[in-house]
Amino acid sequence: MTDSVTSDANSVGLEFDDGVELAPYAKDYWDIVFEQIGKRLLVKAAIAVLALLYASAIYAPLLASDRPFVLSAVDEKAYDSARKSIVGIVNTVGERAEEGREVYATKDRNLSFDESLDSQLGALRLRIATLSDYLPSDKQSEVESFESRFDELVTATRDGAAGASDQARSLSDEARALRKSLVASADGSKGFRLEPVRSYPLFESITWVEAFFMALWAMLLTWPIWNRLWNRRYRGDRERIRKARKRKLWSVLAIASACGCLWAVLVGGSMTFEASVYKDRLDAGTITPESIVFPPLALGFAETHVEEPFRPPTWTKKSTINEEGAYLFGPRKPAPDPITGRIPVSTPVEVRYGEPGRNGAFRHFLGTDGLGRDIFVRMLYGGRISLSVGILSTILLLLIGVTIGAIAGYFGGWVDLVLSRIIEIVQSIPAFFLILTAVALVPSEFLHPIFAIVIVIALVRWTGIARLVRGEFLKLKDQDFVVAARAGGLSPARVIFRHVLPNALGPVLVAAAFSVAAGILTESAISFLGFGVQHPIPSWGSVLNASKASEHWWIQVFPGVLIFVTVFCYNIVGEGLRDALDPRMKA
Amino acid sequence: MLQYVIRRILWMIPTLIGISILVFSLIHLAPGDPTAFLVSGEASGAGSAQDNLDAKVKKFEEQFLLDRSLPVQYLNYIGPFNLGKHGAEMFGGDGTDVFGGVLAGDLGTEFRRPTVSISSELWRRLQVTTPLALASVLFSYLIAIPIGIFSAVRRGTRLEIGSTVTLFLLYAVPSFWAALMLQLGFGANGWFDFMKLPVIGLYDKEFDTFTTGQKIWDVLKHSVLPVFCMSYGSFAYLSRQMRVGMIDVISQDYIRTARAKGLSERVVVLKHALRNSVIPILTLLASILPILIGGSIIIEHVFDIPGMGKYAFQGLVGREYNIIMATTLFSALMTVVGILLSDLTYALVDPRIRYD
Repeated sequence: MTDSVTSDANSVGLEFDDGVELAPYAKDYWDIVFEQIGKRLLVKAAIAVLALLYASAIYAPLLASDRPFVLSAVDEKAYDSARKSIVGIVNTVGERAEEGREVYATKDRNLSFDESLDSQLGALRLRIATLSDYLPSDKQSEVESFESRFDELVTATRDGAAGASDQARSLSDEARALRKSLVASADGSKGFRLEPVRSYPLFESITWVEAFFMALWAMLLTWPIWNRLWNRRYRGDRERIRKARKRKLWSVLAIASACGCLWAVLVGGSMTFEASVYKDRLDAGTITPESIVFPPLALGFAETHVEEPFRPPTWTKKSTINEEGAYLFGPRKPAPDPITGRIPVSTPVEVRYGEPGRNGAFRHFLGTDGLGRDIFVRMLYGGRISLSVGILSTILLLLIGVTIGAIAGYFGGWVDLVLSRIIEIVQSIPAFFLILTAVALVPSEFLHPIFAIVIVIALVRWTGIARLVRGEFLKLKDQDFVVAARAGGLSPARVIFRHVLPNALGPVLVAAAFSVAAGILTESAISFLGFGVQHPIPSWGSVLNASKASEHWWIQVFPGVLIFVTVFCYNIVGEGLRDALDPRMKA
Repeated sequence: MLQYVIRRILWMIPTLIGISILVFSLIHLAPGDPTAFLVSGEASGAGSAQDNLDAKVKKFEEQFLLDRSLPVQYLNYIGPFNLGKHGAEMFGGDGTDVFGGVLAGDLGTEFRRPTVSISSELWRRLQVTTPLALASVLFSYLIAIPIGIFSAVRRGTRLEIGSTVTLFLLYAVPSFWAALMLQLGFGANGWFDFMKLPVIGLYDKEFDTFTTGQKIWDVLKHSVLPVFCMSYGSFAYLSRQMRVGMIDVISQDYIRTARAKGLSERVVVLKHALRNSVIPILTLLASILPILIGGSIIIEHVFDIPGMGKYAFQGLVGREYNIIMATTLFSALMTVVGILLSDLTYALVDPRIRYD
């Protein structure tokens, strides 16, 4: 009966009861829905928990990563290798100049004469760029003039100019001199002092899609604040507040998209699934940091600590490790060999740059898996997969289900008959079996496992929504407002999507909330069985799959709690929506 | 009625054919070589070893018709005629073994153990899975109906709210996680270790030496946790349905009449109300059973029970085409039959529903 609320909303200006004016404005359908949701503390709490879960997944890189936000440092190794390789490049070009184009062509080489020169030119430019990154300004002109001389040499060689080989010899001497004069280090201990270069490794690993969602979520989380400020402009005029709803939605989306586009243009980051080299190189001392900012937790989701396999949560007593890397308490404490009496040697824990100390409570807050990867960080990133599978599969199955259900219900007759038969057939597919088979057999190179799961879930589970929508359409299609719309000469598509569908949306939303929960459950079950996303990308189910042994309880408990909490919250929201959308609740 | 049943059964045929084609093409079109396991058995190398392997692969493909076109493979699988080397003469065989395929009751053999017939293996596995599923169904109803009645009759009391919230919580627990948590709790060093409940497998190591009584006790002990895992989801669901149905019935006029004529509350609830509210719940049975059989993959995987779910998992991991086909088709059949039964029982108990 949702139609009577929405379609009449505009015509009912005031409500009267015994001649007394009750409400200064007519509440429309969504007013009632929001009001009902607002009355339910549990539903509000569940929405808040979900918003935070999504926030933790979206902002995961800002919370935990093995890349620094900002790194201002000198990479001595890169500098030195660039400095040393200049001479070799000049000499190679010298050889080309010596033998000339014709002689070169007689030899069996895989690059042509020009290509070979180009590659040398590119190599030198790269080295010079590295050098000038770190060189102080007074030394810059030296390398610049060298580079322009090298350009001339290459041009001369290419043209086969007479003096090219002499030119090459003199430039080679010059390169040798340059190699000596540019000896330098970060702290100025040898030669002169190098200038640190500022880079933003973490920001560069964030893609525009992530930037879009980060902006979107920032606005959603602050919605209660800016919404109130915005509404103040209307001075309590409900009519205008209601009309502004759509504008708010569009502007949020527009701002988020603008942020995404801006990010794509300015940063153009690309996602990486490997552990980064920054911490290793900082430890090895090849990078000397001037200033460095890591996220709160300087651990990556793919970063391994092979010396800490299956380490219990570090706030427990059993995970205390001494300097040699041996456990001090519990079953993992090294026991003397029964025959020789020797105590087995342990590997000392490697505390990398920016990480919490060996026994710090936050070192591995929720323990580690078999490769010593941090469970907490993997759960943080795993939420990105698990939560998005739920949402994406629901969007897709809504698209399929609503379209088919609407067509079947609106047109009726043989169309309805055929579509109903199809719905019946799809319904009798053993869903989990088929999803598992498809995900297990479709190779990840052909279709990303996440999309495989999403598509198969949607293809198997759209029937519930379709039946629901079909039922609503059957109920609504002969109502006056639909007949009027049709009589007005509107196309069927317009009648379906603009007039009937908005009135059938309530039950669909409820079913959508439950199907997100079902999608998350299915994805985690599939990953738990070892199919689905591939290593090292985590999802909640695959984190859980890291060990089934009962002594590794932390691997089984924590990701499961997260799945449970998410599904529970979605169920609460679904129930709450069901009650709130039911117009009988209007009181 | 009979006509309706026959029509519904006829409708099952295109459904099952559709599912079988879908799964068959999915299996065969997905890249991945079922002969890969042959390679791992051979020392890889040049010369005779390679030739030997090629011959082996060729023989394997011939045996399972993997070298034929997909429609031929499919028709051979479905039957009733054997299209292979020893098949009917009109299909190019030598006529020693004319019939074969699913329609002839032959589900093929496993790739790795060509002597094992899948129908006998599946039958063996079903003898493990079916009792577990039935026990779970029974258990769910035994718990769901009393809880449903209680929470409808005592609506609003603190105990009722507590039980409703607990069931709602249970409903959101992923079954594989519940299984793992039960294993943690009842396993070695768990909180419930003192109960000495086995957490893995279906039989004890020394099962063969037990007397009959001991055997029954042993299997019962082993199946407590799996049965609970398979049933808590359905009893959470069923008792919610039961509660809704019961509340609906209790507010009916005839219940008021029964109360008005002075019947005790006990009689009103257990006789007048229960009979009418339990029927819709019973019809859900048919739709729960196939879900249980599908869900058994996870439970049997966690508890290491040699049932059909584990067999299906094994087939998926090893790319055993025949196992995947057999288990999927079987669960599809169960689902279709379950839906039919559910519709029929629904129509049986509610005379207003007509067959058309």
